[in-house]
This record gives sequence, C-alpha cells and structure tokens, in this order.
Amino acid sequence: MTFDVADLQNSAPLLLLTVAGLVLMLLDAFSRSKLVGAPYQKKMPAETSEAYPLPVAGSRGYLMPVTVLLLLGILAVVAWLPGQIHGDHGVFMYRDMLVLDRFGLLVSGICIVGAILGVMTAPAFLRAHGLEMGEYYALVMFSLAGMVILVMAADLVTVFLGVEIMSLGVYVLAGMWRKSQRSAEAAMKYFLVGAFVSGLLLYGIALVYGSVGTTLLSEIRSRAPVFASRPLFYIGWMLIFVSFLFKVAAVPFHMWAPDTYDGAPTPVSGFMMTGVKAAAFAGLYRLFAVTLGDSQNALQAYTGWVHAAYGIAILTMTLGNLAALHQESIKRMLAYSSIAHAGYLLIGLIAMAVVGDSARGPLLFYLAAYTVTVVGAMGVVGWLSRDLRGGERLTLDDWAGMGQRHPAGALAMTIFLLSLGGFPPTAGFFGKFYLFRVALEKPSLLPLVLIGIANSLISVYYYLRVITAMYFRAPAPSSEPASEPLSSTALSVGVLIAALLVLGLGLMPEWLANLCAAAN
Amino acid sequence: MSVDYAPTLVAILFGIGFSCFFMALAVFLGPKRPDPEKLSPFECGSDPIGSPRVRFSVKFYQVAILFLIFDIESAFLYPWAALYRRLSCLGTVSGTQCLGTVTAFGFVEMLVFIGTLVVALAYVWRKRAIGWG
Repeated sequence: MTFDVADLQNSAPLLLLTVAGLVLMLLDAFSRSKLVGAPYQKKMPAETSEAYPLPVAGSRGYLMPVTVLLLLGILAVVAWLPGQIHGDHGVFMYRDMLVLDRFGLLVSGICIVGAILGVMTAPAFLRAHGLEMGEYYALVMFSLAGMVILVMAADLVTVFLGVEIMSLGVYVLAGMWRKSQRSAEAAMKYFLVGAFVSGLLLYGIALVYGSVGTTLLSEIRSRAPVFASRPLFYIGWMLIFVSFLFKVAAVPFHMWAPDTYDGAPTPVSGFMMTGVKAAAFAGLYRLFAVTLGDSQNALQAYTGWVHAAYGIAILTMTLGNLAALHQESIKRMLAYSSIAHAGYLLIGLIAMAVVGDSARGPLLFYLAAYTVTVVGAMGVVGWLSRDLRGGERLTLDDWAGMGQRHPAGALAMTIFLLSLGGFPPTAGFFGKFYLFRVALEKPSLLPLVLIGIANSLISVYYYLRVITAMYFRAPAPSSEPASEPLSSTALSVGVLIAALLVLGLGLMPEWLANLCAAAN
Repeated sequence: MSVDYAPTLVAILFGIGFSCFFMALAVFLGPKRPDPEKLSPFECGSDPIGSPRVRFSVKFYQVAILFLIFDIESAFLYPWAALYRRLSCLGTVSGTQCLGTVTAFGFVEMLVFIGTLVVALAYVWRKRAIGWG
C-alpha cells in the first residue's frame, strides 16, 4: 500500500490543524512556570465574601497570539487550495474517504475565522475567571480538525469520525470552568446527549450500509434508486438525520442546548454555536442535499427527509423565538436565538433539495454571517458581564445603562444584535434576504418563508429589548457591585474585527455572496 | 432476503423462552423454606462490611484513562503487525516474499501513530498525571 503525496497537500488544512494542536499541547506542557491565580484557590468564589482576587497575567499569555498566527496560516492554506481544484468536481483523497472541494474549503474557512475571533476574545475572559489553561487552544485546534474532516467527508465513516473528533474537544471545553456547577451541568448534558447521538448516527450508518452495501456517499447516491425501497435504507437515513438535528440543536432535539450554551464558558459557547453548527450543517448538506438528491433527482422522495425537515424548520424557528422572548439572561437569550437560527438554516437546506443548487450560496452566506455575528456577540457578553466576585452578570437589569458605562462594548453589542435580528446595514440582513429570496423560487416553500419572516419579526422584540436596556434604562439601584468590564486589547480587537465584518458584509455583501455561490 | 435472518429470530426466541422457562420452573417447583440465615445478604461467603458506595481516590480514574490510551496503542499494534507485509508491499505478497516494490507505508503510518501517542505521553508526564503523589 501507499498513498499519494498529492493527498497530503490536498488535506493540508486538516493535517496542519492536527499538528498545530499537538504543538500547542506541548507548548503548554513545557511552559516552565506554574499558573497563578484563581483555579488554585481552595474556596469557591461564591463562598468568599471579599472581592475575587485579581488574577495575575499567567505564563500562558503567549499561547493566544501563537494560536491566532497558526490559524491565520491555516486560513491562508485554505484560501490557496481552491486553485488546486481543476474542474467542477472535487478532488478525492485517501481512497475516496475525503473530498477537497470549494464547498468544504469555504465552510472550513468559516469555522476557522470563527475560531480565530473566538480565540482572540477568549484569554481575557479565561484569565478573569481563573480558567487560563493552555488546553483551551489545543482543544479548539483538535475540534477544528474534526470540523474539517466532517465538511470534507465523502464517506459515512469519515462523517462519523469528523463528528466524534469535533465533539470530543467541545465536551471538554464546555466543562473547563471547573468551579462552576453550571459549566459541569453544561458539559454533562452535552456529553450524555452527544454519546447517545453518536449511537444513533452509528446505527443509522450501519443500517444504510446494510441496505446499500457501501459507505461511500457517491456510491450510495448512484446505487440508491435500486436499493432505496428497502425500509432499512429509510430508517437508517432518518437515524442519521436525527443525530445531525441533535448536533445543530433543532427542535425537538434541542433540549440540551439552552443549558449547555448558557452554562459553558462564554467563548466556548460562541465556538459551539458557530463552528459546531456550521460543520454540522455542512454535514447535513453533504449527506442529504447532495447524496439524497436535488431537484433533478427524485431520490429524496424515498426517504422523505424534506417533509420531515419542513416541519422541523417551522418548529425550530417558532419555539426558539418564543422561548427567547422571556429570557432575562442575555446569554440564555442568545442560546435560544441560536436554536431559532438553526431553523432559518434548515430553510436553506430544504431549498437546496427543492429549488436546487442556487440555494447553496444563500445557505453558505447565512452560515458565514451568523458565525461572525454570534462569535462577536459572545465576545461582548464575556467582555461586559464580568463580575468582580468571579461570576457573570448576564441579566437585563445588570446590563441597564451599559451604553453610558461602556459605550464601545454596548455599540458593538448593538451591531451584533441588529445583525441577528436581520436589520439592513448588517450581514444578518443579507443572510436572511438571500435565503428567503431563493426559497421563494418554489411556491411550495412560500408558507415556510412566511413563517420565517414572521419569526424574524418576533425575534426583533427580544433583540431590541437588550438594546433598549443598554441605552434607555437607568441601572437599577442596588447594593451589589456593578459588573466590571474586562480590559484587554486582544478582546477589543477581536470584537472590533467581528463588528467590522458584520457591517462590511452588510454594506458589500456581493463578494462573499459570489464566493458562496461559486462554492460547488 | 429477510428469510436469511430467520435463524437469528429463532435463536432470540429460544433464548427468551428458555430463560423464562427455567425461571418459571424455579418459581413454581422450587421448595421455599426461608430462614434468617438464607435471607441475609452475603458477599463471597462473609458478612458485608459497610456500604459499597464509599468514596475512593479520584486518581484511580486518571490511571484508568491513561491505561486506556496506551492500551489502545497495543490493541492497534497487533493488527498492524499482522498486516505489516501487506502494508509495505506494492505488489502481491506470496508467503513472506513481496512480489513488487517495498514501500515504507506501514512503517511510516505506525511512526505517525506512535509519535502522536508520544506527544500525549509527554503531556501527561509534564502535567504530573503519572505520579501518585
């Protein structure tokens, strides 16, 4: 046996991410001096009456710039690789287990950009809460490697591998706030649900293999018309579908999401809401929109997943938005809003199957716009909500008057919230606009689009609620010490870049829209 | 097609049937003469001492996880060793002879795998996860 050297070049993002993760792990392990600060305190912050001692800048401070540089390098490789694809079809690697195509590279790029912004906003938050651990950076890298495997997967086995590698890192990240019970709850819920979902996914893969006799997606696509009438094929695909709906937190498979997104450390929540969701949607796209057929191919009829997705999209949008309406905690509100956005993204997936390839661009654009917006918003939440006693001040009352206390952070948050709500000069507007426009090409999707628009109107209420609290409400008089925003250059720059991207995509969406439309 | 699975179904039914049958035999036919000695719980012939739900050192779990990591290494080494000739031969293998070009594929693959594990070992060593103290 041997392998092609070209495979190494074509899978470079994946290999580089893995090596970078290993390097970061070793850098952390061989950093000489010990960590100082909060995690080595014996008492829980809640038990101490005095203010949380300000942690000293740790010895791992250099890991963040190193990680950002490594990720920028890998992003450059991802940007260079499309030139290596000749023709319309992707390049298959490792005996057809992975495929290099523009779609996979674009989603990898989205995940990596989200991770860069997340990593920039993370260290100040982690240090302030006594979580400054080098493992964070290594785990983000490993998790990203899993995402890249998933978005490049051309075989059911690599799909499973990608989902597992992606999730394992995130399970640990969600629970890294070891002093926080809610973080432990978040990690536990995510892990238990994730383990269950892995079982479903594997069982589905086994049934599909049992009915078709191959795990290669392209082979399944060509053989399916002959084999698809078997019930095993149908049940297998439905199990795979359900397992991915769990990963993207679609209703009714969302019950873990609010607690997990709310309890995990804020930068990690941002990573989970964006990277994991983007990669899982790329997996859904490859498995369902591509393998199970498009508008020219009647294959979808065999599994009926479009009908299931239709109902689930409506449920996801509506329930996510209705639950977000009454959240007092901003982080939990964003968690429910992330569920609602999974519903909008499902419209894009359905449009892929019903309208055809023209829906791919809008779906990808929505993913990109959503990613930069949410990473930025979670960055601001981590930034402004720091409590001197070690917790987070997340309620609307805590954020009242933030416009006076911290104008820059409040302005950035306003931009992100407007983008999430879909207001015109932001990326979120064009995300929704392109998505709904392409879905309207088929009359059968009209009810779905109308429900989507109604839902975005509902969502405006709870996004504006935060903005009015920040600008038009006086801070509640209370004996509690006010939140003390973090001061960190990297964090401010990360949020600034995210805000500029959101505004830039809102003012000049064409270049990314063209890039997304060309990402076949 | 589904007829091929009929023996499996028969085996499952037999399994369920036999266990139910013997349970029922024991319940309906077995003599029941309980006395305090028979009803007392016992553990390997001696009286139980204390609750089984005691706290034990969290270090055991750490050792167990580290063991698993390096156990998987050896579990992967065996099939690799068995397939080594096929992995490092481009042509067909007859007996111990490779009829074709010999490549370093199998060797390099295992080097990559072991190398990754060495990184893990260096990490746990530096994090002082190996020592008991």
